[in-house]
Amino acid sequence: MHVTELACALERKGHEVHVFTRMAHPGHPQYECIHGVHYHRCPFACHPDFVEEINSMCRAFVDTLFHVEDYMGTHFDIVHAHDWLASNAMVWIKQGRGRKSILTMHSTEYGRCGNNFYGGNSARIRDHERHGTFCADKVIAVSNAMKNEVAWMYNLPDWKVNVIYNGVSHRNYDGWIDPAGVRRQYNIGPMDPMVMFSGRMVYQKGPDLLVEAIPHILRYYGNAKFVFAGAGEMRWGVERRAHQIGVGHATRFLGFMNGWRLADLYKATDCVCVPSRNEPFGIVILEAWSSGKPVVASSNGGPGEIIWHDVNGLKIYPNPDSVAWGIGTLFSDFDHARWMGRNGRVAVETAFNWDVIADQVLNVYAS
Amino acid sequence: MAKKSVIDIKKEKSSASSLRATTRIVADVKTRRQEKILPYVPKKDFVDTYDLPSRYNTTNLTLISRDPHLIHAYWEISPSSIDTLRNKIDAEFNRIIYTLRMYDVNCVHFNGNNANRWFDLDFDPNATNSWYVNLWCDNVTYCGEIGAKLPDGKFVPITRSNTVTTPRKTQSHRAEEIWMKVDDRSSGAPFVVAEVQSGKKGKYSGSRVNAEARRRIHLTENDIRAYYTKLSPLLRNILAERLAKLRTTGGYGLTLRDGKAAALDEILRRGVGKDQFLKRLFLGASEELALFGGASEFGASERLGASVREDIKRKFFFEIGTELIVYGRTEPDAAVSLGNKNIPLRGDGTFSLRFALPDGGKIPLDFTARSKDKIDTRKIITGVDRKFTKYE
Repeated sequence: MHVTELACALERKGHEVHVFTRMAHPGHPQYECIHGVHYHRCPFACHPDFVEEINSMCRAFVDTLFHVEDYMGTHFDIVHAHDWLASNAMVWIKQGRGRKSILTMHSTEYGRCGNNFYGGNSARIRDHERHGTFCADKVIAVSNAMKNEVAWMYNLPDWKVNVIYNGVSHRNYDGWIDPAGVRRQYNIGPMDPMVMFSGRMVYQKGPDLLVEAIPHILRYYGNAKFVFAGAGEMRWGVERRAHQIGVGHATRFLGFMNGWRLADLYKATDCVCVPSRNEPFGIVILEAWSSGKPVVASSNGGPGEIIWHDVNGLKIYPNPDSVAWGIGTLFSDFDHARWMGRNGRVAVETAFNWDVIADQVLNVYAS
Repeated sequence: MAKKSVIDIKKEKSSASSLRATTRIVADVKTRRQEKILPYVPKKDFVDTYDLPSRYNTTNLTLISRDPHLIHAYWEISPSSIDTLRNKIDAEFNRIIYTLRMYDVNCVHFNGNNANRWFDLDFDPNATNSWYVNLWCDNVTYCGEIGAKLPDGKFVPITRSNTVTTPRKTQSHRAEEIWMKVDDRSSGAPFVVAEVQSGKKGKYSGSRVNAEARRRIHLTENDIRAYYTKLSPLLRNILAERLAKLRTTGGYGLTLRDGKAAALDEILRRGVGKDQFLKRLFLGASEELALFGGASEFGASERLGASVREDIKRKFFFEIGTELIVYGRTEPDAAVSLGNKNIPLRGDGTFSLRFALPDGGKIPLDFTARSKDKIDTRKIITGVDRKFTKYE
């Protein structure tokens, strides 16, 4: 998603962009030109070992890229890889034909494993990341926290890592819908204070913290409702816990949502909660701001940098009491909450839309 | 027999204890208790006349660990066990050797056969019934059996002992961390988090709302935009570069991709002012956002023309605003109106009004004052006109 948006933004700036990706399903055409961006879908062989399969995918990318270059007759100025999945491809292109390479780190394997150094495949992925960041000419990190983590873990010098925040296409969230109508679909009253949790239900994102905080909030706002939009390994455990502590009536677990349904939910809610234990950036925050909703997010990592406390949202700590404080404070003054949401929209339009980010990326390309 | 004589009692006492007694007996047996101070008795040495029996007539073997390398074993073999043994091996009973077999049973559920290793200590049952067994390891687990060893080497056990573990001789070799699990919800009571604001009561409501209101006034959308453009260092640099370029060269050449030049007329025709459009085009998306407030429809167009905003982003700026104050007085109970709008008077009959005076603004001022009994009416008609403004 991020790659397609960035590619479109770069294309709008007048550059020629080619995206090399995998085939999402067997019927996908191998070449497509969408919004002026050239998409090359590279088939590759499957392999029972996941890391080895990614390696073969990278080899397919490299092969296709060399063919495209030869076919076009010109060479690419910049090769930009995202995360460890494509880092091998970038390395091999650099070793093969010496193009200028940029690697964007959205998250590290250490962070994905809950801040642990596991062995096995995890160690191999870490090696991929280390080699990629070593070979790249520049590394882009999505937040200052990510920059510090990557620089510490992979021994990168300061000049090599640039910070460019993620973006969101706020146009998708334009428009007004009737929040009462959307809420009625999920059995939520129109005047109930509503909190949304959007994201994968995993330990990192901390939905269990929100569930533990619910009784504290229900004590003062008896009709508050909490919507969990997302799927993951923790989903059933969290749902069971909610029923266990007796707040099942106030929670709605919707499973995986995307598209216009999710955008409608964003527009219908009062607040979006991101109680992550560890968050490199937090695109959910940008989505919430695009819909003009304030955000209650934990202060470690990305959210700590982009949220202006009490102006755009509230910064909390990843424990249930702090979550309860944040949401309770927000509910106590809805006018302020709406003002914070508006400021969030202003922030997204200013610094987190794709044109601005494409400018920054072009700057990194040029440096 | 109400009272005994004191002398008689004293005699009784001295015959009981055989030493000097200092006895004082409080009189009156019937009505009061007697209090006595006991006579002094010298300590006798304790002599233990109880002897441990030499045999208990049971068969057992007990091991005790004495130090990391020594186990103390003591045993007894009762005659009935010897008889059983004799019955079992009657042929060679005279040639058996009594043996203490020590089994190393580290990490083993000992069932008689599965020891790690074993060794034998022969003894004479008449000579001894205990032994200090030397080991060559510390921190080991041992179990013992006493039995008879036949001349052909077969071992017939009589009884088995308890299992004993010798202590460690050195510091422990385990170095892993064991973390204590701290349960931070042990208090149980929920915290008081947010108080519901109900009207004016409560210290929480009043001051906080005022604080928010105050803060809200000071932060405008521009401040937020300014903050966010400075948030990312790269963005800051880019904008600074481009603005510097803009100031020095005054705009750069229009580069449209082929085929798009025709569209330029179309766009201009559609109503976006030429100035506005070219500004958008020259600056590029990011500067436009920073300077002119967003690419969204919410108010981008009407702000583009304002050159005042551009001055804000430069270092040197100069701007003015004009306001008009009109004040007057009349009788306190009269009614004053400006056009058809009623002007409220202060208690002493004075009033004052402030008007914003934008560029090119005309403010007609026709006041009418009518006395309370509607008899007298006075009119004052004037006006203020802000003429042109030139920016250079």
